[in-house]
Amino acid sequence: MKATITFLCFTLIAFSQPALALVLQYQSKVVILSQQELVENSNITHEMYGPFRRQTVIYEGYNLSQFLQLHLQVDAKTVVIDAIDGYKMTLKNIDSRPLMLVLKEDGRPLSIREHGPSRVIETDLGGKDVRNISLFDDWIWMIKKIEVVDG
Amino acid sequence: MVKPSRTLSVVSVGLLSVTVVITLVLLNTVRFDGSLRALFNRDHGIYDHAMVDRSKKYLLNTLPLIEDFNDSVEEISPVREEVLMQFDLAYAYLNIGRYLERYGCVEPALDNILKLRNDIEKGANQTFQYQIWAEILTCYDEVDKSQDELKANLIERALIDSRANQFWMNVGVIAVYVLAIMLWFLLEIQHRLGRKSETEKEAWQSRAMTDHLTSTYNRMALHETLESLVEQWPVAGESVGLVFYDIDHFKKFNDTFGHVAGDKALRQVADTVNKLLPMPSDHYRFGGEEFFIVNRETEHSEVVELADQILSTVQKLNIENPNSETGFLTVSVGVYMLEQRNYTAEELITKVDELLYVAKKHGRNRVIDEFTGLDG
Repeated sequence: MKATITFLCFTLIAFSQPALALVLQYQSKVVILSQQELVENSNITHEMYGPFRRQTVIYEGYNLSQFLQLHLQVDAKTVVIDAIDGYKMTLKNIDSRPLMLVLKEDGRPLSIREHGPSRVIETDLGGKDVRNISLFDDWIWMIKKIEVVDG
Repeated sequence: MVKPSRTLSVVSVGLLSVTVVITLVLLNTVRFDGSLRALFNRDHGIYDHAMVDRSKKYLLNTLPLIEDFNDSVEEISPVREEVLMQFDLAYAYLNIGRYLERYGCVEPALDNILKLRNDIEKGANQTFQYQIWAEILTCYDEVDKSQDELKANLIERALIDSRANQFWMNVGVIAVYVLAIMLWFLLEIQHRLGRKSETEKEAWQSRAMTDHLTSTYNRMALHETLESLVEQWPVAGESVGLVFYDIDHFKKFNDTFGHVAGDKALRQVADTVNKLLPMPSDHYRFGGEEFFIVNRETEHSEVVELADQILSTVQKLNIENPNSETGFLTVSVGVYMLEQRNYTAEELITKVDELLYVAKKHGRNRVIDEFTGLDG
């Protein structure tokens, strides 16, 4: 019964959510944020070399841990991220890593064509070879849902 | 200092060289393997096709969908949305810095994808735009082909690097083994020099402590022995007897028969006494015709018995000496048992010499010991 209700809720949410919305979930708690409000409320700016852009970029967005704490009231450690293109990835130890949820690049909101609407990046390249983009597996594009699985 | 054995040195050098070689090989393998993985990883390598392939796949996904809504009279909104999404994804996966930087066709291709997308968004029931599609697909092919060429070049360079790497690793391995052999050689030389030096040292020490005429120890050796004895004494259960003997009227013997005969007589007496000595005893030539015996682990009575044997055996050599009362070469003997450690070596010699003097004073050819006084 509970599973049916949850399924129906998610179906309703899916149909009712605005275009390019970001879904946050922790257990039964679900928060849906439109891209517009996400862009407007971005609270940190970070300038660094973008390996996929091959140039220095100014990123705007949120500290991922603080963002999840703010909206889900949980100190997240492990999250599962779903992307629009079907990519799915688990990120661990996010509370101790310099991860940023990016909404704007050089002052422009991200669209799918710029690997948005939201994207997770590491704000510290940690000496990685920027030529080798295989080292940036944890930079997740086109995020549509973030689920906290280990709070 | 304990010297390491030769076997241990050789084993250590061997193990060290093998360890260094294995470390070299492992480091080399790990480094080379890591760099190959970074370059040629199937999905994420620097020169992979993953991005451009995905872009192409998303673009081609739109074709059947476009066909669908072209044929429809009514606009099918969800299909149109899906087409827009596929165009966006195709754009995103081609919109990569390294493609834009490297290939001139990518930027026009992106513009073309955007144009197709925007036309669809505006609601156009477009016919297939061959020219635009051809340009985009040609660009994909160009990128694909160039990526292949880059990959081939890189593989060739990696192989050349690998050969150079292999060469230098072989040089390294040979160098390690040459160094190990040199080290072993130096250790061996040092070992042999050390052994030779010790043998020579022992020979010199032996010569320095030996009287060349009688082959007994000399006076220097006696002093060392007595000093060591006094320092260590008393050792539990050990009693030490000191015997000092002197050939009677030997100066006159020399005057009568000459020094060659005198030397011969000295050798005969020393050899004879040597044969009488129990173990552990040491025989020293004190000087001239005077000899000293340090007799360890022995009782007073045994020392006196030894002295008596010396007395009678020397006389039985029947070496003629007209100056002697018996007509043959005889000796006088002093016997002293070590009692305390407060004496110096010189004082001990004096103690026994005093007893020998008593034996001389009382007519020679006799044994005098500290307890029994005049004996024989």
